Amino acid sequence: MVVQMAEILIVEDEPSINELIKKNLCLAGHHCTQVFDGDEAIALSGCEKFDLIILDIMLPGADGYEVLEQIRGTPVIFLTAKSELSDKLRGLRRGADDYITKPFQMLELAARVEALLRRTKKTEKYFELDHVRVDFESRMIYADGSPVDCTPKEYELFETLVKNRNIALSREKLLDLVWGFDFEGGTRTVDVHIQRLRAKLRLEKQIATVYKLGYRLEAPL
Amino acid sequence: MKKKTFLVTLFLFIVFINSSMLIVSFITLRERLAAEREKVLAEHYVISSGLIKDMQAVDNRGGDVEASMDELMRTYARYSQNRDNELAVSCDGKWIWWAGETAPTENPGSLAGQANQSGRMVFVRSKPSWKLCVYGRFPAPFQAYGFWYCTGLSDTLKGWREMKNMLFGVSAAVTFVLALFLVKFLDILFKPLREISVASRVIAEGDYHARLQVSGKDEIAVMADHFNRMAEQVESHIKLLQETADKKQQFIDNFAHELRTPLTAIFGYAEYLQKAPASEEERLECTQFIMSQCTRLQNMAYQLLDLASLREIEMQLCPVEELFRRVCEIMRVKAEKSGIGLTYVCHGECAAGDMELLITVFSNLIDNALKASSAGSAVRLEAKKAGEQVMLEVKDQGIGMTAEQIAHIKEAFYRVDRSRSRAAGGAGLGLSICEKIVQLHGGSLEFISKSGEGTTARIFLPCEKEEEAEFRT
Repeated sequence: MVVQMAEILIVEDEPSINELIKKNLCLAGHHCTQVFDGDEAIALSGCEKFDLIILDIMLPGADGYEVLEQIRGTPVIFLTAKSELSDKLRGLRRGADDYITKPFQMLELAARVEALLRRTKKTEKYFELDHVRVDFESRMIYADGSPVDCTPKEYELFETLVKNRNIALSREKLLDLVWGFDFEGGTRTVDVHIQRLRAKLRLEKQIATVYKLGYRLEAPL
Repeated sequence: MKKKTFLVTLFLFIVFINSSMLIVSFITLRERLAAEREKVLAEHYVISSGLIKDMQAVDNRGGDVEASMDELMRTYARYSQNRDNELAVSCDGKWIWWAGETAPTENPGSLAGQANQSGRMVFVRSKPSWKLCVYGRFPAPFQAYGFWYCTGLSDTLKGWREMKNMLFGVSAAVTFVLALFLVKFLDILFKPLREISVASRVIAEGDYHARLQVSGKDEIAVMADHFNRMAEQVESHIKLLQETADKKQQFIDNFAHELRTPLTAIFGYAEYLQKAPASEEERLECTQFIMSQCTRLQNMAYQLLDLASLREIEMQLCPVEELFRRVCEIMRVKAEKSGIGLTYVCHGECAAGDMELLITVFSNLIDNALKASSAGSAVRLEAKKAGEQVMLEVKDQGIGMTAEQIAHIKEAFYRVDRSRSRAAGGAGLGLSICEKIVQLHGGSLEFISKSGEGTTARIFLPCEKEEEAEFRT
């Protein structure tokens, strides 16, 4: 089960983009509310409490900057097609906590949302999936309540999969995220570590192989 | 320029004033000398006539005239006492009597030869000092005798020099005053030129608002006026260029933004399909989004191509009746679907233009009208003559637009209602294309609308006269 769940408000007038963000955030287990214009966003944020707001700047009704002024107190990520530095600075100066420009990548969105939630919300210190439990503070993995003996790289690999759960990560990406840019070994290293994790944690089904792409930790939404 | 004018004027003035002073002083000198000459001649005459009388008396008494000369001249010696005068008497070419130490250096014989009919001669001697000298022969019977009388000119010359010095002093003072006045005057005279120089420098530095103050009707004012007109022209051209550049930049910005949204969606859904464990239903949803965004990009590409390829049109005869009928045929299905009535009124007007392009324009306008209207209302096409032009109207009873929206409505990628228009697949280029087509026809496109009271789109097209049209066909 997922414990790092947040209430997120998505304010974006373009339905396809709004839906796309929602789908991406749901993969990480967040709960999303969609609105399509600024006035509605102000009204809704007044009566409900959100952990995070993803806010487009160009909106019908009140624009993103106006919405930002009305909803002080909630962390906001600006999402916009305007990529000039002056726009970014303006948004950040007005109180936005982060900035994503269109077009964005899934991993970028997930990482920024997670980073912001970690800073602003008291995130849970552990994650549970079936019989496996990960403690992020002590960097320990438990299976059926007893600690599993694993190497630091194995732990980091599993944590990366957990943080990007339901998103397929290529072998190259995993190498990059876990071992770093300057790692000499090939992608076989990833395969070997995945095999070991599957065996140790008995998560053969949950750590799925995505054909020709890489691996994905599948957690129920 | 100012310095040159100053120097030349001052030089001319100095030459003029000094030469006039010179002339004045010389005239004065001549007059003084003439007066002196008259005086000397008069004194000479008085002395000689007195002397002759005395000599006659001596002669009558039978005395020796030459021997008694000392005696005779004593009476006149007072003339020699002042003004360093010279008095001398000659007889047969020799000086026989003189006042003072030495006899005059001149030879009395040669002096008598130079004398005129009246027997007198006058001349100015410069050495050892300036003197005016008169020598006169006596009449018979004393023709052998002559009288020499000289008077010093030093007093006269001294007076003249003083006057001359005073005159040049005055001229120097006047010259100085004039120089001051000239500087001030040139300052005033050259002020407009200085202003022009300042203004042109300001303009050269890029501030095209600078203007000159025009006053009066002289050459400078005319020049200032021309200068201002030039500045205005430059400013308006710069402004026009700036506006065109701004418009282009705006178009590019809008275009980039417009591209980003479908690209974000397409990329995002494709990535989602690739990386997320999507269900069959989700898969369908994602591909549907991708396809609709692709369609949107495609529409945009086509419309941009239309906009870019519109260059020239072939003007033909376009009966408005036929135009309206064909447009209504095309749009009827869509209108009926939305439950909106579509009607047209015309009275056999004929416009000049390209039928196919005009159909595009009206399809776009009607499409917009349908989008703004709700079911049950009507969209009406109407043609009227307006002077040399035909006025074609598309009138709806829809939601209308605010003045601000009307101001932007012809801009590329501008949408009055963004989400709805995008959902309907519009690229926001319709009216840009309409406007371009109408402009190519030499016509104009305007919108009259109020929020909540419907919109009227008016197109003015060049008119084709009926008779001519018949003649051509």
